[in-house]
Amino acid sequence: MLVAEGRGALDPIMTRFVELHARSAFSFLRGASQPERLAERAAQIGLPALALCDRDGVYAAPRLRTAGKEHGICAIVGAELTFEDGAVPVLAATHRGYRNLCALITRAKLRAPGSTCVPRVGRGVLAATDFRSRAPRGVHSGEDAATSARDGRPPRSSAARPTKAGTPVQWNELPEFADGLIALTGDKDGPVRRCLAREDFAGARACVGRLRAAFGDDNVYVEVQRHLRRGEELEIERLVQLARAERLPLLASNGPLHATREERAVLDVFTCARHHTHLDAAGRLLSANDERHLKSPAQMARLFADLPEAVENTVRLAGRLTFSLEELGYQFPRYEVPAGESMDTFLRKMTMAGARDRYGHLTPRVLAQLEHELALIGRLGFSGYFLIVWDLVNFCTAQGILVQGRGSAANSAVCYSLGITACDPIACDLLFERFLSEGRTTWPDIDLDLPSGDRRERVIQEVYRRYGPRGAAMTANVITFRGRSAMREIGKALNFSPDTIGRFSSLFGSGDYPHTLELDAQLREAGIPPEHPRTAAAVALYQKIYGLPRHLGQHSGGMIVCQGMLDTVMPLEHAAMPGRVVAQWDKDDCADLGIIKVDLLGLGMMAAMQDAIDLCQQRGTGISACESAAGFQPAVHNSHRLEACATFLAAIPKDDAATYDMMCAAETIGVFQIESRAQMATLPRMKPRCFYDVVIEVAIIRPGPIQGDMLHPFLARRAGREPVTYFDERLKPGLARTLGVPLFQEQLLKIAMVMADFSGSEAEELRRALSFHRSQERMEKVCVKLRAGMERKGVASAVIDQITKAVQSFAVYGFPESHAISFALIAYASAWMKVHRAPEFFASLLNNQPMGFYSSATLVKDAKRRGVQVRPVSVIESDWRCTIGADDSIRLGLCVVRGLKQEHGERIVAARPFASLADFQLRTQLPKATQRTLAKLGALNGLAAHRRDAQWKIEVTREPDDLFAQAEDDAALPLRAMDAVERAQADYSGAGITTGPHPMALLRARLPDIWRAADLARARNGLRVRIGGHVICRQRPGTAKGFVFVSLEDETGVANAILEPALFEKTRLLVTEEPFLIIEGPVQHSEGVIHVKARRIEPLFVRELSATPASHDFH
Amino acid sequence: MRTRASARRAWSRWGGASVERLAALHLRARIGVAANADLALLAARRAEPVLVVQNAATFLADIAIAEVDPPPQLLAVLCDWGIGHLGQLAQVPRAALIDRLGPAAGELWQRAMGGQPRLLRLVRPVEEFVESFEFEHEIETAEPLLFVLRRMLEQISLRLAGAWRVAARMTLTLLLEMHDCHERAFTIPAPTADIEVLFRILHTHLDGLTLEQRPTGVRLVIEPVRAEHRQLRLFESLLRDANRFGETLARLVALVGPERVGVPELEDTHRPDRHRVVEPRFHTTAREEKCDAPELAIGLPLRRYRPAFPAQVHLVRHVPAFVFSEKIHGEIREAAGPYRLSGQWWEREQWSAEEWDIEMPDGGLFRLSKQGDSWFVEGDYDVAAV
Repeated sequence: MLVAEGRGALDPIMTRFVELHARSAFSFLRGASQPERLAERAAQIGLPALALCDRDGVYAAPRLRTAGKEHGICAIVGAELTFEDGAVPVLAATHRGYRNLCALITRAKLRAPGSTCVPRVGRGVLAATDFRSRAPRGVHSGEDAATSARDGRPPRSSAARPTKAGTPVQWNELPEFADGLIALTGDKDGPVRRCLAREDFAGARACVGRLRAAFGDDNVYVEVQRHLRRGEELEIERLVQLARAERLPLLASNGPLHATREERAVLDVFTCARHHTHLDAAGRLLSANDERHLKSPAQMARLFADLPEAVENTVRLAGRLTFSLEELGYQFPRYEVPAGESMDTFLRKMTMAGARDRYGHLTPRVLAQLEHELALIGRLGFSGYFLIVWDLVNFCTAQGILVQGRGSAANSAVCYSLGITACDPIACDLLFERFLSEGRTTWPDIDLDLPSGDRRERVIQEVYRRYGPRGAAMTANVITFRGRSAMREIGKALNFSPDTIGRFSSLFGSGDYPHTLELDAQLREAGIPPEHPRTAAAVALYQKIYGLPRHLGQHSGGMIVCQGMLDTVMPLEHAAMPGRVVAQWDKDDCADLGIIKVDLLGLGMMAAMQDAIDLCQQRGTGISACESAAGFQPAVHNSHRLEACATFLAAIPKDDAATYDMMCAAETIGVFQIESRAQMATLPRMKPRCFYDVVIEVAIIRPGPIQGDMLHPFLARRAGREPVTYFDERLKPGLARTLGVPLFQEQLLKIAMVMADFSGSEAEELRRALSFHRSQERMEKVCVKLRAGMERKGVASAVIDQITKAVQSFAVYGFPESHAISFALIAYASAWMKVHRAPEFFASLLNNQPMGFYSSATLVKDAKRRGVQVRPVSVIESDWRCTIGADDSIRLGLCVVRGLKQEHGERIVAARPFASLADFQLRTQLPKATQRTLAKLGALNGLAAHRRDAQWKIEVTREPDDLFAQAEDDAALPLRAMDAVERAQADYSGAGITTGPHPMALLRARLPDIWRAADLARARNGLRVRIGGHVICRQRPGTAKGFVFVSLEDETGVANAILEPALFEKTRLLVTEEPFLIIEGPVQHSEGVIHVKARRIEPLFVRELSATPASHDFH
Repeated sequence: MRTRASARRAWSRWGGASVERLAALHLRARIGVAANADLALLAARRAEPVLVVQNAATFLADIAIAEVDPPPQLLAVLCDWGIGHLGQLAQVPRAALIDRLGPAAGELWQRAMGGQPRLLRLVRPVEEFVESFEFEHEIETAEPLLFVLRRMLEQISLRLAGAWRVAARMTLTLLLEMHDCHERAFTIPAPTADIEVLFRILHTHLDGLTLEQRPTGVRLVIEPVRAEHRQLRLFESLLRDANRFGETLARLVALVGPERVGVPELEDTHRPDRHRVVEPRFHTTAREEKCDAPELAIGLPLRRYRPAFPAQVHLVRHVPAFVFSEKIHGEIREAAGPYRLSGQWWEREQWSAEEWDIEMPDGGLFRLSKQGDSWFVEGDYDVAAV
């Protein structure tokens, strides 16, 4: 007889119990709770330890470990391994066992042919319609085992089929990896219970026999679970018989799939997603009750009062599981040094050689700094790491790939000397301790910025080549359910119509909009009113699902490498991109576990800058001596193109008045980092006049400083409207250059050390909290400590509040100073290029699209406003990429033509010159569709009178020996030439760019009352005006309290408008969907910044233009 | 000129009169008059309600090419050429056009020029097997209705035979005096064109039918299928006379109501005792039967009480110890459970239940359930089945 669980403390039994078979949401659609939530709940109910056995991975193990530490829970590592005939949970008993587990999972994962990492949830509205037709009908249980038993077919779960996500583990490969692992027979998805469900006792014994043979007689447990369902007693009885027959111990588990009862709803939604069905049709696929949550030792003791040894065995088994992630055994690769050298001595040698190149004469200050850094690096054992990164930088140099270190590495003179970073930390007075300090236990962070695209991929592939596919991996990026994806999945499960789900996505796809519209209001607008019977469920589910892992992606550039096999440190699997292998942990997990990561980040601007510098070299427009005289040292080895390129960043003059003038005028379209609308609105107030101003400009327009209310005090102090004050006079040295306002992470650390007596390790904890975006809790804990420290020192409560607010806001997003300097270097360089090498600058930007904030069309218009001629695509003149003519004009490359294959473009270039259009056709043999596109774009104009002439002529099928071809061409053309509007339309549809007049110029005559963007400067403050143009940017930053910023481009420039939240909500569809708008409202002038405060919005219908360039929306 | 103008007027008058005549027959019409069929069709599309085209070029000049349904690719090229109307297309030399865009462009050009006379194609409407009749007065009894229905079936049956079809489904609609209607659809167990079989189905239904309003009209729609000739597999058997079985069911329906006749089917849910009554399927495939097979029950057969007996249950340490109900009462010797079930949490009518199996001192085995705060005796187990 079973006994009910007591709600009160009826039974004083306090039998200890350890849950050894839990699954988290990292089982991707097979679990419903975050590991942190499981750890928290386990602590609440008195579980001393918890084993997480996610499906085919240890994805959540680091998170459980961290959360377990916080809650006093011992985190046990395990995984459910998918075999052909079911899933078997295994637990890592020893370090060797863990290594085997990782290697085994990796082998199965990498054996798969494909690319995706884990099962992905169906995407798009169409998926909602798909599943209806595929919804399983008449399937009476969610349990694959039960289904197969009923049908009498061989058991094979969908998860066991070879997929791109991985192939099942083979039974015959198990013995090789079984050492140190302990196996449970598993739950209903396990092979043993599947056999029992088919009444196949012999088969169950055979399965157990296989497990015993692989893992050993002492390392197999017969798992029993009790979920208060009819029929399970029979199964338990059979399992007990099996255990007795095989002389194996029983092990009790509740097989939790969620932390508490409440999360059962999430599991049901995930079940629907997994089976491509909805809740109304899912039937018995759904859970029968909500019992699969974490249960306390007392609850489990009562549940298994008839099998007490099963509960006791959990404690005994837990005692055998000695492995923890603390003993991961990760080692960074050693660097092979020449004979007679150690890594320390070799690093010293290379650093000093590099320093002499960088600094020329080594001053005592430089020498002292280098000695200090080298000594610390040696003591901490990081020499090999520096040498390996240096080697990677050397590879880039040898390959002609521009590279620049960023992050806190920019604080290191050693990194600067080795050529890893481009900014002299001694000259910039940067704090080395921000990068590396005695108290630091984790690896320092060196990030390398590389040109995005092929060049970065070459570096990544080189890392794979050097360390092997199982010695290096990209770190994972856990994609979580956000607003739209969460609601899409919920909507499908709740059987909302595809139209409704689509409407929600299109209305709220560009942001979660928590500022002005609650979720139920969003649902109402999407067509689900509050009185809808499922609205409450949708809202509740949304809150539960938001933030849960959806699938595993790869980090944009974080690579980890290992001394030995990385697949014994963590499981690896295929990434979505061919040729990439990804780890199961993200960068925060890796950092927590001391696994070193090198970020190989792709920057579009790096690619553009390298191309621009190359163009300058080719055209002989490099930096002249006179230009660089006032600036930094020229390149040391000018003979080498790349070296000239690499030293360009350091060599450009940093006091160029014209560059700063352009910044002050906010004419920064295309300039790295300071081109956004928010940056452009700040530049005229900031009025940068030196390089450090650019550093501040880069750092200040971030959510951290903005939310911390640091922007306005800083600008007021800079403008002299507010006195410069400090929280404390002792902070003056650290805060003086930012006028007493903390703008950088380093300054906050300094404040904590001075005002709250934070030790080095406490400051390190704060730094980690600031960098660790994931954990709000972590930040709150540090803030409590900070506040207590300041109170102890008697700091005034108002100041404590200010400092705490600053620290908290930085957790949102703030820059370290060194990072800002690295970015500012590129920002300044790109601005300088825009002013002094505009053709090269714009041509390179166009060649590296998509990148940056604006579309090619806006860049072209900006180039024209700056006096650069941009010429259209031409098969006679254009190369594949954009080029610069002798007259400094840009010739658009064939690469801008939509749908034109590079192979065809190169064929055109190779076949030049062409005697006639017929000659072009005969010798290029391009598909008719391509010829039509080229003709429509005007790319054949040199071979025909005009576009329509070309369009008419290319339709004739040419034969090589056609004697009358010329006569055909000479016949009168029956088509009229395109007018300006048609040309613009053809340009936008064929290339997304027009070199002709802006569409607004064509409409201007019709719009007499619309102000031009350039004329707004003459409008008096407060005058009500109407502006109109093509919407190039829509933004609703999280820091703007629901305000929306819209930028309208016309033939004279860009006009900005601000929409209040209420107006935006009223005109949401209009604002988000219309390509051309008219906005009416008063002009506001403030310190050189002009915008229109929108009062009225209407669409500007441009009937002739169905194609328009893309806009940059809500990023 | 005068001749042309008078001809136009004559055609217009004729068209106007035709439209009026058709209107009298409740048919809305637009009439185009032109030199050939294609042009006349275009004219009819633009007519309000009559359009006489005498100058094809003028008429066609403003017609968008898209209106004449050209192939999409051809339309795209012409659009790129700036040719949006037939008038513009007509100005392009035909031979040059065909050279470039093929014969489809030539056909389109021909239409742009006003087209050529061609033979008309006969389009047969899809044959419908529908009969309807309006009575002069409301009818009081079934006899006149049955008489009319038999006549209708005779008509339809003849047409079915002519089309080599049989009836698979009949829909009977009775128009009632207050503009309401009664509608009933009948699936024919073994599709047939036999008047007697079809009539018996209708007759059986009307025999048990009581309406609150008198019928004023009747309409009968037959869904036809091809007659199926299928050889049964070795162990497959059909009803000896499916239509007779269907008729028997129809009589039962007439007696007890449609919601009480059918095949019980367990619903696909964890909720206990959820079932529905479905129409018997006469044409299920083996595949469908397999998919719909219910999960086998575990343990002793349960004899359910419908409705269940409310009960008072006294718990000791959360386990039922005493039960008091109309069916059973007294001390519980032993209890097994709880078995918990819950579902439909996404609806307002979400449910949950906790079940116990109890043994009474006399050896009787019962199932108790707790729903909310209420207890019920759900049924007893057939101990004899042990």
